[in-house]
Parts: sequence; C-alpha cells; structure tokens
Amino acid sequence: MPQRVDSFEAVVLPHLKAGYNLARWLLRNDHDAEDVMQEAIVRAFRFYDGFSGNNPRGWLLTVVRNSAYSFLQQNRARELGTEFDEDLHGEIAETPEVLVLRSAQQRLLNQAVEALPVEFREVFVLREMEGLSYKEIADVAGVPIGTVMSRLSRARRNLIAAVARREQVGSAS
Amino acid sequence: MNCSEAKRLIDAYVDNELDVRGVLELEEHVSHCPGCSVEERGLRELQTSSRANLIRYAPSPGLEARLHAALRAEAKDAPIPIKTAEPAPRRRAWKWAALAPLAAAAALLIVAVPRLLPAPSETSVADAVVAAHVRSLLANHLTDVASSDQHTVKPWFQGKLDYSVSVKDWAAEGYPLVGGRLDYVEDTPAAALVYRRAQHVVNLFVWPSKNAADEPVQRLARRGYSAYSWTTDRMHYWAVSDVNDAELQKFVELVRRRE
Repeated sequence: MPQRVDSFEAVVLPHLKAGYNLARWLLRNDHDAEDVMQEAIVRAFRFYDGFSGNNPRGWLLTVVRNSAYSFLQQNRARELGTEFDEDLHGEIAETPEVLVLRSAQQRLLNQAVEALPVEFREVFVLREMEGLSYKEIADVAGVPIGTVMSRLSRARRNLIAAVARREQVGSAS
Repeated sequence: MNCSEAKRLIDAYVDNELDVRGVLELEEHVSHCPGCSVEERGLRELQTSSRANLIRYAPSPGLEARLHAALRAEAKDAPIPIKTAEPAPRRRAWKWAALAPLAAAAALLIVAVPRLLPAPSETSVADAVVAAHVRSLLANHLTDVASSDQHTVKPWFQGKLDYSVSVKDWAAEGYPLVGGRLDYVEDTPAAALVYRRAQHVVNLFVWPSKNAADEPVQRLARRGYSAYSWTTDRMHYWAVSDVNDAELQKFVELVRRRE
C-alpha cells in the first residue's frame, strides 16, 4: 500500500522534528531517543487509519510521548513518578572554564531542565518549546488541565530557584 | 484578588490562558503587590530565556533515512490479504502501551455509539461544557451569585435568562449549593448551578433543548473530568466534575429524582 505510506509521510513526517525534540528531552540521550522515535513512527503508522486527520502534530507528539514512557517503564522505571529532589540540582557538573555569560546561562538552564523529573520536564518542554496550549498539553500527556497547570507552575518555580542558586554559586567562587 | 489567588493564576496569565476578567483582576493585583510583581517578572524572564536558550535537538539524517525504510518495510509487512500461502507471523512485539490508545478508543465508542447517529455534535457539546467547567475553576469565577439559598439563586437567574431554572440545595445529601453563574455553552446562555462535594466542585449546566424528545443519561469522560448529560422536559442538563464517578452519579440521581 504505497499510497498509505505516501500519505503518512506527507501528513505526519513534517512533525518529525518536534517529535524527535520531545523524545530527546524525555530520554536525555540521542541513542534512546532515536530508538524510541523509530518505534513511535512505526506505531503511529499502524494506527494511522484510525487517525482523524486533525492536528497531526499533537497526534504524533502523543504517540512519541507514550512510546517514550513505555521505554522508560521498561528500562529506567525509577525515573518515572519521581518528585523533586533538591539534591539532584546540586550534582550539575561545574562549567570547566570561564564562559561568556550568555552561554553560561544557556548551559545552566538546559541542565536545570534536564534535571527536572520527567513528568515536569515534559509539560515544560511542550509549553515553552512547542508552544502548546494547556488543553493540548493535557491531551498529549493524558492528564487533566489542572495537573498540567500545577506541574508547569512547580517546574518553573524549581527552575527559577535552581538557576538563581547556581548563579549565586558561580559568583561566589 | 489576594496573593494566594494571584499565585495560582499567574502562570496562566503569563501563558495567555486566562480569560479577560481574570487578566484584569490579576493585573490590578500585580500593579500594587511588589511580591507578585517580582514573581511575574521572574516567570517572564524564564520564559524568554527558555525560548531563546533551550537546545532544539534535531533528528540525524541517518534516523530520517531509517524511518523511511522502516515505513516501507512496515507497509509491505501489513496484513493485507495477498495471495501468499500462509500469513507470515508478524514480527512485532506488542506492548501494553501500544494497545492503550486502541482500548481507549474502544471504550469511547462503547459509550458514544448509542448517540453517534442522532447527535453527531455531542462530543463538541461535551468539550464546550467541560471547557466551561474548567474556565470556572481557572479564573476563580465560580459564581455570579454566591448563596446556598435556593430562593436567592433561582430569582437571580430570572432577569438574565428567558427560561426558568429550578434550583435546589442538597446540603443534607452532601452536595451543598454554592451559588449560580451565567455561562455560555456553544454560544447559548446557560445557567450554571454550582455545588460542592467535599473539596470538589460540581457544575450543573442547564439550558433549553430545541427538540421535544427526552434523552436518557449519558456519561462522557473528558480530560480527567466526568460529565453526565440528559434531556428532560425540553431542558438539557450537564453535570461536570472531577469528583469520583460514583459520587457524580449519585448527584445526577438526586437531580433527576426531583424533576
């Protein structure tokens, strides 16, 4: 059925970049992100007949998200359902050299987002990188809007505190 | 608005997810509250910095090539009845998670099937009702008239709607009336009666039906909320809440028993 492949590639694959970015942020390394992405795309293709045609990006993100979570469940279950551990943020590697302020900040922020528990990281990345609305995030993550709001809010408070703490450490040393 | 309300809404404000009324109230509060104003600035800085600085990971060219190949292979492998002697065992490792969307779709179908044919717009009404429920919680605009007295709430609606709504307090049964609100469901003015069940809010939306036929109770789930709908005496009723299903069902029975 080559026309089915063509249609899938035309409708869904334009959102591959968004899907990969989400997988990479959820899994935190390229190797696993590529494996999960491949599985997600094949899975999406199998379900493609049942896809309504609305919002292919949100649909692909949902499939990618679910694939990433089942991968974590099987391989790194302890990363799921974790609460904030303030110590986690203490382990961020020191920047080896004096860097331009901007790149230091950039590194700091990326590290702080990586250190968020996956449920919080997911909501934050979908909001700030993909620009999804609360409702769209709720649909992708399969949680109520209230949960999206509280996770987003806690993720942000945590990031602001983590970045402020790191900047303090940086200026003190 | 006080600080704890402002803190609850300030993320939604920064994300442009607050309704006009909420925006006005929040801005008013932030303008004279130094603490919340610092908080707002912090959130906006984080947002700007995140959008500029978070690494956007791109798939490698190798991955894209592998995906195209995997899709062609999958398409060939698909179970189309071609004239091969015996169906090759499909080399896929089904996982639970892969089945979940199917199961969800099947569950939805079971619930929705009796209504699919006569009312194709049912799901959009459900979305609108749940959105109205969420909005009422989000913007802290739960009630226009806050009263547990049905004789206060009922007359309040009279000048605002061209139909009459019966209002009853079920405090004795564990569902105290909190008040009423004028809401809109798909551009139709609807009465929203607000009840509490422990920490949960139950919104009961009521508006006139265009056809005379009664409809039995239907249940729908949307984004973690349960919704029950029915039509009696030319009025649509929708009860929405995040309370557990059995308790919402009990509430629905209370409302229906009295009609």
